[in-house]
Amino acid sequence: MSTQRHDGRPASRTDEFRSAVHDAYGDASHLTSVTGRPGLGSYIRQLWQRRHFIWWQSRSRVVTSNDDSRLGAFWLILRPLLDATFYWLVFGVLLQLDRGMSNYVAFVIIGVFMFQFTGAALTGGTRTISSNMSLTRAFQFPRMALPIADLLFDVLQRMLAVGVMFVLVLVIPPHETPEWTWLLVPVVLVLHILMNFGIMLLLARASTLFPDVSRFMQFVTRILMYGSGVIFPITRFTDRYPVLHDIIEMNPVFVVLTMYRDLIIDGVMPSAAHWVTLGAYAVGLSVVGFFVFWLGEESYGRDQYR
Amino acid sequence: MTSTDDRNAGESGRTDTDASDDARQFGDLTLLATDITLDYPVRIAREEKTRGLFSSAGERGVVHAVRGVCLAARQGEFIGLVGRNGSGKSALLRVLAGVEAPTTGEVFAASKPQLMGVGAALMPHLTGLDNIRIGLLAMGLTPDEVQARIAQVAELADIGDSIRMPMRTYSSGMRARLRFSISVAAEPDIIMIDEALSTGDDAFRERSNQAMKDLIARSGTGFLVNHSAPVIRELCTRVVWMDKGEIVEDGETIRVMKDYSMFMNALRKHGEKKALEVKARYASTFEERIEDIRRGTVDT
Repeated sequence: MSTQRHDGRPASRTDEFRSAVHDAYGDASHLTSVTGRPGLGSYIRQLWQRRHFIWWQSRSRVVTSNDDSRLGAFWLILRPLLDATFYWLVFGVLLQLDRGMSNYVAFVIIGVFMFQFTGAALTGGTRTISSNMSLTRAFQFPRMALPIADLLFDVLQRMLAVGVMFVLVLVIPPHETPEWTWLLVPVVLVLHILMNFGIMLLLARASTLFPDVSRFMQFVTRILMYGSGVIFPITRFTDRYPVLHDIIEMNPVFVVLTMYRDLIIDGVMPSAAHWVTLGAYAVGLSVVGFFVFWLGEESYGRDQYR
Repeated sequence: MTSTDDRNAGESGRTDTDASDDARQFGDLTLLATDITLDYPVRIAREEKTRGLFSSAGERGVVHAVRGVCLAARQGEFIGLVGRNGSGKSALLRVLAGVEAPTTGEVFAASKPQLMGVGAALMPHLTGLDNIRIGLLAMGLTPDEVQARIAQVAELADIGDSIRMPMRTYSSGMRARLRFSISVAAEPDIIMIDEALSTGDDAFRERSNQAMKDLIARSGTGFLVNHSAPVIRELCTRVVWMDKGEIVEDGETIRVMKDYSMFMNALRKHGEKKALEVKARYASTFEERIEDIRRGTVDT
């Protein structure tokens, strides 16, 4: 319990009150600060203690997320199915593009589906604090439970889409056949989720400091989409320019998409460099994001539109 | 030392007992707030001009919502916060609850206060029951505890079949009932209630008052913002009257409520200037409040 304040007011007022209370009502050493943010260790413990809250919140939201539609939860499968059908019709049937690839339709489907995952983290991160304000104001809990629940909500929804993605890659000609490398997809997925987690935490904090961040996100998403080779093999262009090549290799979204395609379409092990890059981003972003979000813990209850 | 048997206060009226010895009815210190200030940066629009598209939203200004509040509360105390609109009651409560960080000053408490304010649905698309479950989990209860208490919360809220409907369909009174019931279910040692119960009907007022009395009987501490003088008189052992972000008077319920109603009457009948004269007559200085605490005469 700290005793001194340096805010320009005479410290004596605080001290005088404190000593009067001490004399009349007894010791205050059993009290802890409600304003301060908890230390990192106890923050993590509190967060772990709220794991059921996180789980139930995201679970209930997945279950009810399509209640405003007639088909309800079927949309969780229908939407990715329609998305993929669209890309198959446009690129596979109408344009009959192959861009010199064995399975261009699979290339696009994997690109779009897995890119949407990070896209959701980009927009979700900027909204997580403002959209959960009523919970923040009603209950005391470590605020990081909110971005985690939002991420988990997205992951749970996304799992069905990933399932659809695998089915379609098998069904749509030229059919892919399951390979042992598919077993490594969950590993990449976990690293991908960790990376998205870091991005969400950083953006959640950034958007409370500078609300305009959320307006930028659609542009950032668009730039990332073109800069990550989502629907066309970007390496065709960048291979001619070593500088561009180096830049693109630093883009974690490009790296993760390439790894998914290596594993699913080509059935080969992604390069060691890509594993290292993705691993570094996953660990780096989530650790830095955790710390940055924790630093702002006290500020999330505050109205952002004053 | 004269003190008041506040826990039985209510319909029966107060019974003044002469406790000349040091036997305190109030327990240990549960909350200590020192020199709290809360400032909001705002834009103040120029009155005479309609705002243009690219013109600024107005001059930068600061609203001093709370200015230097010192407060201490003990077990068994139920403290009413009164004051006219904009006097800083709710802002102070949010700071005391730890929901909002003060600009300066610190709040220390024996346990995390549970704030219950008027507000939107917690999770509008989920049913009342789901909201109960998630609310209790958010407050840190284990799934087993939640399972054990969920029925009890639904019973206190007493909103019939609506408990199984999405919370977005609730009326403001039903929302308040559900939120209140969730808040008390965790048996918080410190509860803070901001206006929220004023939307409940008479039947619920009785139930919620009983729930709050139970909490105080368990040696909890309560804070209540309410504009209804009878509610304050029934529940509170002590009243803090605030005006313009500062404490005007802090003391025993009947005394402070009498002074406060004089102030409000003056304000209503004779306007601001006269009201401020009344306020000046009753306002106690910081030194006098310190003296009250030292002599143990805050509640008398």
